[in-house]
Amino acid sequence: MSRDGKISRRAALSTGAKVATAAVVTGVVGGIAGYLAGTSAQPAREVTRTLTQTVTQPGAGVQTVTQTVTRTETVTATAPVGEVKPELSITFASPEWLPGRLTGLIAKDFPAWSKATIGKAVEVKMDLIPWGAIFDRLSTVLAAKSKEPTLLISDSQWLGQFYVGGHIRRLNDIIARDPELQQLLNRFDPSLVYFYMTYPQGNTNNIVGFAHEGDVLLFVYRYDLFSHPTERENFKAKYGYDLPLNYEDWYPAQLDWYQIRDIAKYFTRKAGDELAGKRLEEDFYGIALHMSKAYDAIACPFGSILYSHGEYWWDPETGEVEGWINSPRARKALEFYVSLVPYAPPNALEIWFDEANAVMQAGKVAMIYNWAGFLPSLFDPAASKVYNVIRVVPPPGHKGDDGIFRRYSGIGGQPMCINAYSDYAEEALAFIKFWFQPQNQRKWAEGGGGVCIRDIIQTEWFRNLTPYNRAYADSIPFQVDFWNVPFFFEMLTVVQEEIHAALAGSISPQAALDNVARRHKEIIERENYPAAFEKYGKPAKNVAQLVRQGLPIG
Amino acid sequence: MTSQATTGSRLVRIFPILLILPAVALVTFLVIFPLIWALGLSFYSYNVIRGGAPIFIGVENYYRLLNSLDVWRRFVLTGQFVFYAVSIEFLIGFGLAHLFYNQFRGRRLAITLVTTPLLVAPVAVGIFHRYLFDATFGIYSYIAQLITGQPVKILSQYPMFAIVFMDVWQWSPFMMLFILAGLEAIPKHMLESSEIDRLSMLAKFRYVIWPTIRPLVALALLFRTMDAFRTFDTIFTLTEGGPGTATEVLSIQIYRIAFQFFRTGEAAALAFIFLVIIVLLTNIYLRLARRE
Repeated sequence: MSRDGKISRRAALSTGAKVATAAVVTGVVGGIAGYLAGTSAQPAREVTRTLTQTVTQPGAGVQTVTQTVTRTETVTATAPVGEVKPELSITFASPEWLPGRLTGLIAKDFPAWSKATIGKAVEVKMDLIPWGAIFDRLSTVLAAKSKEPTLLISDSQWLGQFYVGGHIRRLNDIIARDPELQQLLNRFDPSLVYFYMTYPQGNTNNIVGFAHEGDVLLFVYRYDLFSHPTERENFKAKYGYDLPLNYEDWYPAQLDWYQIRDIAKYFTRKAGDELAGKRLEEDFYGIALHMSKAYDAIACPFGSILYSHGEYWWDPETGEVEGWINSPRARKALEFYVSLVPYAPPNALEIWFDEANAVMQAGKVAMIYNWAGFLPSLFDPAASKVYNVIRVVPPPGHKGDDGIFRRYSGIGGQPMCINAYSDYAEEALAFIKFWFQPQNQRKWAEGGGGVCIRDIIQTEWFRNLTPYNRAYADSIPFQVDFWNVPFFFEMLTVVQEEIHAALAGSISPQAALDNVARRHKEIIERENYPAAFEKYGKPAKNVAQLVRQGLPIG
Repeated sequence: MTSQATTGSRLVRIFPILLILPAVALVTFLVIFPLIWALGLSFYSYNVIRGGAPIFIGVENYYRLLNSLDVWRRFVLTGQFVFYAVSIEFLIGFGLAHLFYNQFRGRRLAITLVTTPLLVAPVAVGIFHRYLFDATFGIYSYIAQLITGQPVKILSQYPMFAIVFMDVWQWSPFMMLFILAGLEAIPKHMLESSEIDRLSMLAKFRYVIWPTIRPLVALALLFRTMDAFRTFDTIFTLTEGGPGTATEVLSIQIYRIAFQFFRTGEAAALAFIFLVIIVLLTNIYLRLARRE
């Protein structure tokens, strides 16, 4: 400090340097501590979810009395940390979302369970990876033949790539020796075994995973609008049939995708228009469904529409594409998908699960088509303006020119697989058995996880546990997946690029599908499919033929 | 004594080599070796996720890529993006530099604020521009709706504008800093002389300012051009290359081939083609700069 009391430049610099050094040191120490805390810390002890249950009693005419009760529950691990000191740690890589966090919570009981059953207290540490990065991360880790993660969540379509590359374990030999696992296999819904657990699809000679998080695309609609007398009256006057109101009007009733378009069109309004007796301050939209270019955002919902039109992506037995994805039925399906754009919010071409939820939560849309796994936040009063006026139902189908009503939907969800390079396959298998213990499946269900065990899914307890469980349970049997071949990502990218361009209006639906067919054909020929993959067996059924005939897959 | 002197002189000779050895080893291990390895890999058919032995296919990867219409489309698209982005960044950077060359109250604070975008992580830039451009909830669409009654769908209807705008937002300050440094380096007496000689603004710029700032402008353009060519993170987080493939620049295609399709040999070949183009452009720039 200078004599006149002012701080000299040198003193100021010195002080500044000290402060900066202290900040850097604190940051580094804090960072290391945080990192260590993050890696060694147990997953959250609690998962909170909000349940909304709506009880509707019929009144006079179409009037109904609706009472909605929302309660927030916290699911807590029963075994306190440190009860059994872990002797060994294995890692479980999972997407960073509610099911991943919930898995970590349930896994807290595993050390005690594994100590009692395999004589070794094993701790399962979750490695939660954002959805946008998990495929790249797992692929590179497995390509490097890393021993961890021992357990990993694989999206259903990754199975072929991971199995053919030798990165995940074939489980048949283990299952053959273990009656408990054999029994377990029989408890899954057949469509989940088909699409989540086998490569090639449905070929039980190669069981490569166990279904972990079941997920399906469901419709969420604004019950308050659909039940409004004026809206119902006006809709009927315009379209000649009633707006679907209750669950049974959507399912098992044969609601058609083209009726969904009517409804979407009907509810699309401009600011200043009237909606359910109120003047709108901003534009209102009919439907929000996934149309983003990201990952499989288009392939899944467009898949639902495609299958419901009686068409499939290719012939999985022969690898033929021409006449399948660019057939007249496929063109009609894509024309229909594109025709929904005017009734979607302006950001239609960027809508994936988050964006679909956002427009519904903001009260700007009448219906959304979204993954069950992402629906809990819609029922959270803190996040959603419409938490108490929405209902969840299975998706519609379509009655084709051949008179057959087909209801199929693009499947989501993931199996858990065992890393082929891990030294702890036995421990991983013990965890899989632990996972399917009744008390853990109960916690899984109560926390909002997608249960895959058929005898649980079909119980009234499960069906009434959340606002979406009933629709989830009813939708599982008609799920269909696309390719799970080792070159799936290239096939998927072609679909995302070409159909996104069609949605944007850059090319016609027929041109987009012809491009898909041409590019898919190039990929399939280069990969020498199916000849080069015959050693892994064939798909159990020809899904394409079943879809064309309108028959169930599972 | 003689042997001690010899040892001493040997040490003197070896000492600098010892000093640079770690750096050379590091560069060799982390840069040169992977580069040579990747070059070798580009002549093989190899899929890293599927494993198996790489199959030597000579120049087939290069032949296929150079004959692919899709690849050329992406080259053209990347060139368009670089041209628009760097040109606009230069003009804005030039304007800002002249603004900040003048002394005014709050100048330092203003420079700090203007250069803030340079400090933001590219992924964050992409994500928040995604929110800004969002046609349903975004601020631009909101303003457009207030004025025209219609939302503006920037990401789906004007995707090239969106990615160029984002790049310009982040990197114009970089141009400004270089040009400002050039302006600050102009000797004061030359500017004063030009004032005394009553040179016109144009003549002052042409004979006094431009010759001084020219090398720095060339350097800034060179850096930005090279950087813009390899832009990946901002565009990927904003549009993922869409709608369709409307903003799928080469770096995104290389990423897809390498880390989504795992056609490792082909990705290495495309990366090398890309590298050669950037090296050529750099040389052209440097030659032009030297000639000037």
